[in-house]
Amino acid sequence: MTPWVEFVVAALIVIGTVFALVGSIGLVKLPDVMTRLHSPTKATTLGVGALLVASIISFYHWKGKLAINELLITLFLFLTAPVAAQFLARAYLHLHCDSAGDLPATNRPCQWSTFQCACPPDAEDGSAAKP
Amino acid sequence: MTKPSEIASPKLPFRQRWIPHPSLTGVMILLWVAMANNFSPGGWLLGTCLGLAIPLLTQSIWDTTPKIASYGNVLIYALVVLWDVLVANIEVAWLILFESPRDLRPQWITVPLDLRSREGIAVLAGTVTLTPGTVSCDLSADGRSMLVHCLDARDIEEIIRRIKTRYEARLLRIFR
Amino acid sequence: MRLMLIIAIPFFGALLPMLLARAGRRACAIATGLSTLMALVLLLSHAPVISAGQAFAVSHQWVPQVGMDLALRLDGLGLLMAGLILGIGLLIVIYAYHYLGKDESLGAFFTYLLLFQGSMVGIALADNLLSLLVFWEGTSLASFLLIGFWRHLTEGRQGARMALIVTGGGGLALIAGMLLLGDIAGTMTISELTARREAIQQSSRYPLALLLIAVGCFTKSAQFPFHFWLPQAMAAPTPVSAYLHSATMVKAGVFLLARLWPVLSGTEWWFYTIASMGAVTFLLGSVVALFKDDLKALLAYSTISHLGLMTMLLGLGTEAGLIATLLHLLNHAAFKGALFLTVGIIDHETGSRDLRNLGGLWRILPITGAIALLGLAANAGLPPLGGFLSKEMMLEAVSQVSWWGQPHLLTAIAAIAGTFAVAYSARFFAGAFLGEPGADLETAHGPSWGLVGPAALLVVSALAFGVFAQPLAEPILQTAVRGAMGNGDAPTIHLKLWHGVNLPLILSGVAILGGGILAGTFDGWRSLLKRRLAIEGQRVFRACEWQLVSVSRHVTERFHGGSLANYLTWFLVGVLALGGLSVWPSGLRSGDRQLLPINVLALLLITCLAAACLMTILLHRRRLLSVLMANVVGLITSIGFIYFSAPDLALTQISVEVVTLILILLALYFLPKETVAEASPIQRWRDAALAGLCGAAMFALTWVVLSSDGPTDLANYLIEQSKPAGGGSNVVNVILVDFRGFDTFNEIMVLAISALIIYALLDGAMHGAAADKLDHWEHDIPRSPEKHPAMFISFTRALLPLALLVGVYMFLRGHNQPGGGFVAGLVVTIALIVQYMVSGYQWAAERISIDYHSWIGWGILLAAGTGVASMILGYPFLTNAHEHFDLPYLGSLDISSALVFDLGVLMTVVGAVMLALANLSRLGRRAERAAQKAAEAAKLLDRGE
Repeated sequence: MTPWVEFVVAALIVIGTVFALVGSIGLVKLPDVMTRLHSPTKATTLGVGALLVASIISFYHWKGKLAINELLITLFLFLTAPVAAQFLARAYLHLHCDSAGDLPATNRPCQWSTFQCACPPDAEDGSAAKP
Repeated sequence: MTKPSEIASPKLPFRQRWIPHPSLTGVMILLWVAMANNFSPGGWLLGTCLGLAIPLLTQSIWDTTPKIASYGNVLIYALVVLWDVLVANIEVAWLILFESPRDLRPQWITVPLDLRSREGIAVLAGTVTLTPGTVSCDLSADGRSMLVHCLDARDIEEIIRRIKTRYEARLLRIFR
Repeated sequence: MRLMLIIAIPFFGALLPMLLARAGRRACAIATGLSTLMALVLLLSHAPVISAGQAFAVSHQWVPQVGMDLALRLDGLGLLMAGLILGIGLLIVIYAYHYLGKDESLGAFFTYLLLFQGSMVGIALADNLLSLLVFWEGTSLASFLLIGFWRHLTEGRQGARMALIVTGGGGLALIAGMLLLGDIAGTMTISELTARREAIQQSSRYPLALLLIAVGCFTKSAQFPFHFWLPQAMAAPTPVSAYLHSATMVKAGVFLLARLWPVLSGTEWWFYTIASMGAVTFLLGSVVALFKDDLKALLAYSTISHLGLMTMLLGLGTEAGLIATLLHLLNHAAFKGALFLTVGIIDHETGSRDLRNLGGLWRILPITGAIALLGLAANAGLPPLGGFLSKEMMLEAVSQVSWWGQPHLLTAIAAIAGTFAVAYSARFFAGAFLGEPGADLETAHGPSWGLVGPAALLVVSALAFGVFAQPLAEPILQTAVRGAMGNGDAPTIHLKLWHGVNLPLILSGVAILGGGILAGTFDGWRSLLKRRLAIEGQRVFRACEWQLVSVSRHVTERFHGGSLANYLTWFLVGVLALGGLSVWPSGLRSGDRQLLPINVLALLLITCLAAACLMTILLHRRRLLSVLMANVVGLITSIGFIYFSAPDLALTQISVEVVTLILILLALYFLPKETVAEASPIQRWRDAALAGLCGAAMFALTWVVLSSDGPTDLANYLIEQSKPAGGGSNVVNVILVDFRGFDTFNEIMVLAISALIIYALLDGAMHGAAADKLDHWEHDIPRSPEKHPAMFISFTRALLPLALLVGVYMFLRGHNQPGGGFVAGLVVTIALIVQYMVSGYQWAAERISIDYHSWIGWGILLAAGTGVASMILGYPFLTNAHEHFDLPYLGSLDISSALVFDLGVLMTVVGAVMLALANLSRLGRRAERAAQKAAEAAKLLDRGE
């Protein structure tokens, strides 16, 4: 049994690290901010996921302890990665793009929200903690 | 944290008053036992306490309660997304490793939205970011269109169709 | 035990007037009066035994390490002094109740008065040099509060300050003198000093100790050349002047000299220091008093003069001198107290106490006039009052002593001073009560009994001490003298008004005659002697004060000029110098621990760390980037912690990095984004050299520590004891909350203080020049019109309960696994900050109603409470109590008091960070709102806030 477990764990670790590496390579290789944004949002999620599965299996097999909570790390990553990506994308839009020229039309009678305040009713206090 | 007046509003029936968000409570309990890795009765008990207390404490930050229509669909959606994430990772890795950056055709696209639920749109945006070749970047000011950046947009129509049928249609069934 | 009560009653009674301040003036006065009365009754209950020649003593250990005990001893001398304090105190309470205006805070006044009373009784009863010092300082502080009670008066504040500086400074000298004395004698117990008199007086340090103690006593008793503060202190309300500055506090110096008389007196040092200064003060005071038009100033100098008289008598070193001192102490308290109260009445009823405006009061205030007449007669030493008795004894004692080989010099001084005393007394009475009344005095009305009564009682006793000297004054004096002499061999005293015609009587007659003539012809020759006599000391004091202030200002401006670079330079130079000094003699020696081989991972990590550090420095002009690089340094450090298997530290480090980054970025928003190059090349090289030196020093220290074998026993001990003693298997957390819990406690205090400082600093930015800048703020970074993106709002809403759950998880597992209150606090904080950032401050503040100030306070209270609870149970501060339960069906449960402590840490962390955030965002909102200020104000008005 043990060699199989070792094989699986090793494979998962290799897969995980390869994806993490690919994410980093992407950062170097891709030409601009927006394309670079793709690599950390995707490649790393799988990389971390694979490592965590490896960790769960190995701990279960050698320590006899089922550590479900490690799966939650992946869950939290899934929650945070899109937010981080959108923050970066919006900063890019805000600093480098012009609504009319660089972006496609919204097909709506309004602009993209980076360039026009959507002002949802609950945030209409005209103030921000983030100045 | 909650203003007392909001907790102790006497007009609400018991369930709505003390368990304002049953789904959140359920998620909290499950998360707690999973996080504490303690499936003993004590763990469930503590989880239940927290699952009841935290939604009550944080009640004041929800102006609207997301209504989840079907939990079965949530599960199916989660599995679909998980599979797509797997595929997305491999696809992006392939692109990064074996495609020359010059051959990439990155492009902005506009996806019209039928979803109206704010939570639903948030989930959709997250999904789009996690799945193949796309990153959601912005919404239109009225929240009816989504700005998506594609890493390699050879077939724009296909991408939009995919987002709308594979994800948005399912989400429409979940968030009413 | 009853002795302790005598002191405890005034001190605890001092709480009552404060608490009863709302219950009305009468309640305050009654509470104060009852406290005083109780203490007085308790004191007098000891009198019979003490007059039989015995003493009561009680002692509790206080700080045994330095020989400081709360030792009390009640003997005849203490009884006299404490009796005066409490007895006159009672009269003063009644007087003050009627004297002070309806709109004055009587509660505060009586609280100060009782605090003073307690300290004063403490001096009278103390039997330990050090605890006496404590009470001594207590009187200085209480008198400061009392003199400055009318804080709207500039003279009141100045007088209070001067009194505090002079008596406080003297107090310092006294501390040194007492410590020396205790060191010479080998005991701090006063009653044991007498037995070691010979040894003390032969010690080479005796003169120094004597001089220092003398300075302390002279400042307190307003002796030349420190007398100038007393007239200034007359800005106090008159009851205070009567109580502190005639009857009691200024007598403390005389009392202490009397107390130490059996130990220190009889040497040439004693004689020439104490007697000379006393004689000078005696003469000076009475001469100056004659030239004062302000009645209180006149009495102030008169008091100085009489205090000089007593000091001089003590200085003689003869038994006759001591006896005369104590008799005069008693008499003076009575008649001078009465005189001050009389001045108070005059002031209260006529609104003036200036001799040039007053006159003819006899017709309006006959009773007051009679009291004044008797009091002044005693002051001048006329028969048959008590003052006459003590003056005769004084002249008798003085005439037996020669000064610098001059047998009659002191006698002559005493006679001249006595002549002036008669003169100013006569001038007082004639100026105030005789002649034609001033125009504006017609409206004056008769005082209430509450004002006249205490004065009358005092003056009647002054009369009785003379007329009924034998039955009344004699036993008191006898008891006091017996107490003062220490042992039972005190002489028997006979007080008689009529001694037959002798030298003192002749001198008295001459003084009365001369004084009368002086007073009668005063107006003719006063212009010859302009007011050149008294103010020198004051002028010197003012000049010194001014010099000190200007030097301090100069130094402050030099070092505290607002340049952070300068502060840092001085700080680093100081650290380097101190650190260098501490290792100077031996130097640092590298340890002999075997070095570990470098592995690739560690090398990589360190290279990254060094690179990030270097980048921080190179990018320092672009502040945003350098902040980010500093953050990178922190993150690499946390990887280092993981590498060394310290997940706790890594977790904490990461959370701290996140929180600080957010706060620094928020702060940076209002600062220039680039650092201007303002340092000259020389300065830059200097700074570089300093930084390099500091780095090298840190490296050397770290190297020495790492290469030496540390106290491995300690590490092993902590690891072994973690579970059994601390109840947790996470050693790091157990160290934090238990083994080194006190450190943690102090750290959260520091955190709380920094949060409050941030609050204060940013609050300062809301006013003045900084606020102007905010009001005209132009955003130097382009801003998106969309402030609250919908998607972020959705995500962060979901994040808050999740983060709270994680926070609870971190908190609960902390004792056994990585986590704990600090990390949990940071996790909760981050979740909260995100709400604020995404939804706007106002939105979040409306929904998350946490009062961060009180969270900080409760956090610290909880932590302290845990510590104190273990102290109450008899363990050292912050000892952890833990209990393990096996519950059926539910599993095992560990309950530990450290959890409560950790909760305190959590609350402090959340409160502190959120307070900083809240205040940074206040700046943001102000800048934001500058344009729409008017509209906002209108809105607020509409809402009626």
